[in-house]
Amino acid sequence: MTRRRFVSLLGAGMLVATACGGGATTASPTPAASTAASASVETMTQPTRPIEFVISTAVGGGSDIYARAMQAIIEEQKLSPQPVQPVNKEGGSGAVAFTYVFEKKGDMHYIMITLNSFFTTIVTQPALPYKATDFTPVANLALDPFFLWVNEDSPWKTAGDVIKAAQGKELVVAGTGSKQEDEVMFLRIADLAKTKPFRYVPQSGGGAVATALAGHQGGVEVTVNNPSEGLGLYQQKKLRPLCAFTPASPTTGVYSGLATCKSQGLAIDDYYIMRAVMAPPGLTPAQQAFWVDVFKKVFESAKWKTFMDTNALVPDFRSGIDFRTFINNYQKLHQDIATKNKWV
Amino acid sequence: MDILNGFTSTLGSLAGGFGTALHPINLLLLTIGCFLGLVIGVLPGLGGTSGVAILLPITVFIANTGPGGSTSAVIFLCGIYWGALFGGVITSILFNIPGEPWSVVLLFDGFPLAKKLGKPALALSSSFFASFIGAFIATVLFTFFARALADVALAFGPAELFAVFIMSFATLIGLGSESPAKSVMMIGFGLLLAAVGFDTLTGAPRLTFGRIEILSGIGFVPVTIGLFGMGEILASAEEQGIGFVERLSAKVGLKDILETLRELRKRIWTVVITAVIGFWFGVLPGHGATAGSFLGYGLARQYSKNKANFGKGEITGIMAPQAAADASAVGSLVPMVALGVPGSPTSAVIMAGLFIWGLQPGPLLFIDHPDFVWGLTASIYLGHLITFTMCLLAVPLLAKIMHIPYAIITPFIVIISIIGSYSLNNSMFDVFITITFGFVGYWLRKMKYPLAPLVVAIVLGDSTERELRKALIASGGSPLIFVGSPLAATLMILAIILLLLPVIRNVRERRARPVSVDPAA
Repeated sequence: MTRRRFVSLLGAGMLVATACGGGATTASPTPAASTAASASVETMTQPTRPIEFVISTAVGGGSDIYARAMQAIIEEQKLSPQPVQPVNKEGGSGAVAFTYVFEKKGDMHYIMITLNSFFTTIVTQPALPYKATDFTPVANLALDPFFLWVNEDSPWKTAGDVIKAAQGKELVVAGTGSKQEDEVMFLRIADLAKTKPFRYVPQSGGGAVATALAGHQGGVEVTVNNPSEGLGLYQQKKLRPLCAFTPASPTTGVYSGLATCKSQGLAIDDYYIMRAVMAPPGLTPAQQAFWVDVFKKVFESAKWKTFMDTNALVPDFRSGIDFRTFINNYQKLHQDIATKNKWV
Repeated sequence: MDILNGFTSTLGSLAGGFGTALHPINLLLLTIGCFLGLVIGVLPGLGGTSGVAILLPITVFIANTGPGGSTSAVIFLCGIYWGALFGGVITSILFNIPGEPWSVVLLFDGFPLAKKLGKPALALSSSFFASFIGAFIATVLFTFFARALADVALAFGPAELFAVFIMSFATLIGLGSESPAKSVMMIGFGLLLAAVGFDTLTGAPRLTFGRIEILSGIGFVPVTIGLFGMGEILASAEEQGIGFVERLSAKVGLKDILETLRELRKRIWTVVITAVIGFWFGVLPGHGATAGSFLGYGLARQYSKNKANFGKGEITGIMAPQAAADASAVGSLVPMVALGVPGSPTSAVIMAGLFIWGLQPGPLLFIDHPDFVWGLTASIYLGHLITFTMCLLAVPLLAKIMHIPYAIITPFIVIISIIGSYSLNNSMFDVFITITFGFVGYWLRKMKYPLAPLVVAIVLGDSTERELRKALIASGGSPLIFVGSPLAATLMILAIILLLLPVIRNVRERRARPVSVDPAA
């Protein structure tokens, strides 16, 4: 091959590379382009270009798995006239993603999957220029319950045993991230059962929390993992759920018949992780309705039902005023917790 | 007798797995996956992890229609992972830009061997052979010990991991510098950069100057693209392109392969040992090929007779980290399959795939879906063989890139550097970081500060800090936790020995040497 031909070949290769890099990762529009488009964006009721499905955790995290499952259903059933592309904007316990979506005011080509960090992070980071209630709510698709977990070799059989032990000494516990939902749970337990303060070791994610408990890493003795996070190690008989922080025992799946924590003297049954979808602030009612409709169909699909069963999620579809009330309640709950613990 | 039975039944299952993996359509999917992975690996920024994530939706279709269902899907996804492992090094060696996070360490010796010593074909084939051997060893270990090792890995808590990270630092201190003080300064600078961003333990933003885009921290990939890729271009431009091209070996061919094999024979034990260590590192949940490659490089350097050559184009410096990286990538599938927790960011995405296809990752896979597990295992062997063959065939073509005049290729390197760093997070901030560190890299080169310790500290700084603090939180602040378990104590003592070894050696050498010969001392 002559040098000249090769150089041109390389040039072509670079062009392809450029095209792939751009196409595969959805270049966000330049500020100029988005301003120019905004006039029409406000009046449209259907997306006219590919949609970014923003995920506030890294690839492989809980939210990521849920978002990709939803996206697969949207694509499969052709629920959107334009492709939906998951984009991970992890970091800052969600703050990076929230800010990114907040800045897309009034643009229906952005949606975001959220969990409780949507409240905990926004409440505890006063520098962020927005509140959870500023965003356009789309829908909640499921609630992820908390279980109380110990290692299989633990002598504790009920929540009562754990409380008794925790009243005697500082227990080492693990959870996802600092000032996040798992820590909220442990603070509530400590408060309710008058235990000694827990030594809370923040981990990088739900999987890591389960592993830490299974391996007694750093002496971890108790966690409040979600059912999906502990499932693998439970089936391998490394972990044992003691009870569920739910009003009633699960009736389906592998956790069927697990006692409620309330029945074992630990009366918390109102706290869940929401698996919800939000949109940028300022969408018109028609644009909001478009997305509500899409996710209603996702919720009703057989695939999502199976997915919820596998991961022991509680089916819980909320939109409109119902969802707004839910958001207001959770916002207030987390604000109170943060104030009480002097996080703000 | 039991062991023998277990062994033969494993071989039987594996044969069944090969039956699945060798189905023509699965083989085709695997080949396409490996090829896509290679391309993704070559592009800087667009990493194997995001490549797998982007193609995940396609696998839903494959899982529904492929001959092996979800097995076909996982074979395809893993093919991308293996391809990216090989592809990343090509960019590192030829353009001095990391194609993948785990090829960052290849910058230390890969590019110097290709460019300064004029042996791109040797550099490339060395890394490909090492990858293949590393992966093969790891796959054998995976086949026979996956479930047993996963249990042992569980016991690796923060104290044990902290000791392992200290070992990495110990073996890498003093890399590429005559002056220990400059090395220490660079490590400090790297740790400072690693500290930037949201603190996952306390939730407080650190060193962000109130700016939102810095909250997610400064990624080491845009930094290294700047330091090495852009920095080198600036430095070479000043020296007017340097007469590298003349030194290039004129022909590329079988000769280079033979030379690689000769070099490999001399280093086979280093490659085998780093592969085993890399595999083990991959098995530990949450870590992966990147940290594994650094540890492999550090250990190989520590015990090499040619220690002084490291950073200047030493072949061991290519083979060892590459064997470790590939082995730990394979190892990172162990916790996914055996425990249901991800071993690395890439395997986390593959695990997300399992959920979407309706499988529950974890030990029950062996019982409920043996076809899946053994088809996957067989495809690891095949995938590496396919990728290895493709890469080796491409070496002559790739090596020719080095013949292109520097003036022509430089703009391309700049462009792919910028696109690469942008595509990491679709963020202009990363491009800004890359350009800034291009100038920083140029200046550091001029001032003769070593870049390697800086990179090591940025890459490993965060994890080291996290494990240290987790251990101390769990113990209520008592440092005794680092010697609290036999495992932690052993690892910590090893780490301290490694840390002190160079100092002792240095003192001894100085004593042995007559003073007059060494005026600098």
